[in-house]
Amino acid sequence: MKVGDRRTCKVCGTLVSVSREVCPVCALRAAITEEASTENSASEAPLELRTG
Amino acid sequence: MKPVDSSRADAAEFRPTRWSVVLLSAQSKAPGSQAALAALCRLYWYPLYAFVRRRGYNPEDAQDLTQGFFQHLLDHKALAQVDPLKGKFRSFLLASIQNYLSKEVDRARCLKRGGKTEFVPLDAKSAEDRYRLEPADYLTAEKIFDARWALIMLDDAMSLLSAEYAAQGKTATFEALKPFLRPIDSEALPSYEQVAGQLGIGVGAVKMLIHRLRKRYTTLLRAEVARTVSDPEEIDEELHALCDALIASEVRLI
Repeated sequence: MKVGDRRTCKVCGTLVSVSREVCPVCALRAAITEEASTENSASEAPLELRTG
Repeated sequence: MKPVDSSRADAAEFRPTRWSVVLLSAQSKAPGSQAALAALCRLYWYPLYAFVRRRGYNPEDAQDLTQGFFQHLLDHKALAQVDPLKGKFRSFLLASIQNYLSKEVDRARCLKRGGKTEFVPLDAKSAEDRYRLEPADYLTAEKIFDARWALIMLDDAMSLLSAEYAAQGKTATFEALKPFLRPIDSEALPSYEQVAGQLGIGVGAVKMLIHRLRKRYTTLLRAEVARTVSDPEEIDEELHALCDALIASEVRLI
């Protein structure tokens, strides 16, 4: 969803400038869980196979 | 093809010293301590500038005050009472600039009249161009400072990641995979098949490279934060604080 020059992150719901490719809130949250996920990579958000 | 995240020494670990080391060094007046502190200040100066501007100072005064504040730091006057084993660089800078503005404004104005020495070279025009984009509403100077700090951490980690790929001649790979890092809208991403075709590799390899890219980015981000805290135990706490700062900024800055 776009709101003016921002769009909503579909993972965390944060409104982010369209100039940003990466959601900063998701990036920080991923870094918080990084150590916990080191031994279990499955805890990282899985990438769904996209077929186009 | 060597994996980016395992073939190189952790570049972030060799970046300028962590805050606690700078502080210990500065308090002992060890050679190089001023340069190390100045390097840290140079990296994170914009949130300070934005903070001073939001406090109502015009661009010229904000530049002078920011420079004066750096001189104040580099003269060790603000460092003497700090416990090197406690505290975050972000919190220290915020408390220090608040104290400086309340007590040292007259002194800073004298510096302005006396000669505009630059203790930490800043790009004033760039700063003001950026500041004009800040939301001119109810966000406090503190909220702007913390949110800008968070974004600097994120952007610095991204720059390091980009540089690592570039150093291995993999800029095209980085550019192709970057949208997958923490996508805002995964539906807007190209398909794995498209990226695989673009890079001339298989879909499985694309997914593996994305996983590595994400992992390396979070590692670099944690390393950036580690440079600003006194103890590795504080990294998660600081990451939570930065996340809260972005959310508290009511997403007006990001």
